[in-house]
Amino acid sequence: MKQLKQFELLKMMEAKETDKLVKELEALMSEGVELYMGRALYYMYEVGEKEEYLETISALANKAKDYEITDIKDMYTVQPFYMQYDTNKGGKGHYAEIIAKINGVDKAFYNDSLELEDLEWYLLGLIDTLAVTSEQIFEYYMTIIQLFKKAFKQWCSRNVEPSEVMQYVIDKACDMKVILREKYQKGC
Amino acid sequence: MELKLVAKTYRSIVIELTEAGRYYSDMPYEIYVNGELAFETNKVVNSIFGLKPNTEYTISVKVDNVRVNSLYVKTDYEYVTLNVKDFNAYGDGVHNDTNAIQAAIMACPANSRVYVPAGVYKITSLFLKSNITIELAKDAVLSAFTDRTMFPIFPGIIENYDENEYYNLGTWEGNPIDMFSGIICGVNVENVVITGEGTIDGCADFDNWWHNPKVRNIAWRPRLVFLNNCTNVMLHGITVQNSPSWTLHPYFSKNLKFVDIKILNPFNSHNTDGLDPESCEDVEVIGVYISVGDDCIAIKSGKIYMGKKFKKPTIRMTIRQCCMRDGHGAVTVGSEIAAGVKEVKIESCVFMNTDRGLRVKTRRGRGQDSVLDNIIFEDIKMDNVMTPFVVNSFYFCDPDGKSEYVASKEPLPIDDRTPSIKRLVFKDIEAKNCHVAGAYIYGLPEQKIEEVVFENIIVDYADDAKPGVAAMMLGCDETAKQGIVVNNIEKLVLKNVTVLGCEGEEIVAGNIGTIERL
Repeated sequence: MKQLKQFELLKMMEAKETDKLVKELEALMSEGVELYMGRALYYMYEVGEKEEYLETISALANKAKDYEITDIKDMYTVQPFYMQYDTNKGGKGHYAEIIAKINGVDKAFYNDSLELEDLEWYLLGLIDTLAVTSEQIFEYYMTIIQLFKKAFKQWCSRNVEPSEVMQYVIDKACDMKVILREKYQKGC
Repeated sequence: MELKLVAKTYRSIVIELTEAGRYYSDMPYEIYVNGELAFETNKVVNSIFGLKPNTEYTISVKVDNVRVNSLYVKTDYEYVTLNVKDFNAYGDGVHNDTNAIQAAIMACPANSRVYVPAGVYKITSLFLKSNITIELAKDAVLSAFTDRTMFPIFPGIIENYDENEYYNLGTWEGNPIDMFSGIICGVNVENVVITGEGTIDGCADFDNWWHNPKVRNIAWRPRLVFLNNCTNVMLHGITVQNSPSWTLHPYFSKNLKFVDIKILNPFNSHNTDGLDPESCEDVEVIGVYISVGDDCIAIKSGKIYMGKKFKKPTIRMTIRQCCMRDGHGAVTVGSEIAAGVKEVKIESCVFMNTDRGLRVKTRRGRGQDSVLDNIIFEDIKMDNVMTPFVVNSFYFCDPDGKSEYVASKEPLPIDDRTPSIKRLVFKDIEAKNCHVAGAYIYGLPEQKIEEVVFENIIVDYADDAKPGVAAMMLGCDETAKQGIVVNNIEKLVLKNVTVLGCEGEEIVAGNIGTIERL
């Protein structure tokens, strides 16, 4: 599943395993460049100084801009990458559209009966997008926070132990002060 | 002419000679205290320091050897003075005196004074307490460190345990986000006076706070004085300079007085506005001298999140007998005005060498609560101001500032993002040696400015008028010696308006409902 692969790439980014990440990316790209690779490509462009990735990244960003999300899991596939691109390269000029799209996904696909796995990917999509959103456009920054908190509350009501993905989401949300660490660090 | 009392403290009195000029008096005159000559002055507003507490004084003034009315004033009662040197402050420009001075502040009982004698006191942030006075003696300098890792951070928002409310502490450019605490910081305090002949120096420079100023580095830059939710605060007599960012930033505060102070930042320093009241009420600015690297006074009420959430305009503000110079705008309203600005009067002031004199900046997206109303400019003298009157409803700020939504000169649907400007009055104003245009007033086509009044206005141009751009909006081209350019106004009143030496039409009007020319 592409989200799982994307999460693996994310873990390599977080661990700063740039050599391993480059090898993995090159192997994946040999079979075609896909949206879920966007964040990792951007990471290697910025941190790994892979200037040669920029053209690919820009092409992917164009694809992300017009991509119609039909599955709530694709919030994770598409939005963090496109938000990061627009924040750093796009002058934040498309924030209104990105937020409208996120709101649209929430309205179309979010409900209280989502499959647990879908809910977790959705939450990861939101928190990862927030991490690359400029707080200086605070009304949009807060929009993502409110969507996250709504979905997180739903996750809490399921009374389950956090999966690896969900623990990552909780840790990140605590670090970003989106949720209260004293309440949620060890789950709900 | 009449002598009036402006303010008093335990040890000082502030007086104003009315109808004697604008900031500078039309002629020098003498001030007497109990019949003895105190000093000669050329300012309209003056402070008399070195008095005793709870003591009566007779203050009089001689103009051209003729005595004007006398004032009988009693200084305020003072319980006790705490000298910061007794608290182990060194004042040697080396030791970190923050703790010692903070100890004096926290130990100071009500109706008492924390006294800072001459010396250079290195500090990070000092936090105010209610019901005290802090006095900086002549040659006393509170001099800030510039190592940002030494400063506390004010988080922007802190969520409560029940997760149904946020506490807002920090702010940056209209948003509730993390900042370093102000060099002088007041949070939820009341009845505070900071007075004296001394200086608060932020020591900012291009190799510290002004380096990469647009980038958040740990937190956003501190203000020199930050007042969050404070009431009854007066800053008097002191000099404030070299601020890391906005110099004086009262925020959600009320009953504020800024009297006879000097605000000084280099003309090329970044975002060093002089005074930025944001969502404040009942603000008086009297006899203040401002020379800074951005707007001298910028009246604000937050960006859209704060505007929508709290709906707190800045309201009831008086600015008089001030000198604004060298900055971008002398008195600016905006651009963060999502909750509106109302009932502001600017009178009897001088503006020199600023880019713009009276400046309103707004744009689509500020929101329907962004209502500007009853903003009056009266008895102003301007010299060498690029464009004296600018109202820009297409200000290209923020990431989408140059988008079609913000920039379009075609009428767009009015919705909850559309700001409005109601009444602006410009009266008894002389603007000499202008450069770019006499006025550049541009409302929104879909929501025109309701009323603009120009009454008793004289504009002339510098012989060597330098071309420039009148307003920071797309489609405003570089020009020089343009007349009065007005667009998208419902009712325009032009009463005794003289434009001398412009190139082209004196009045260039577009989409005006009615024009009354008298």
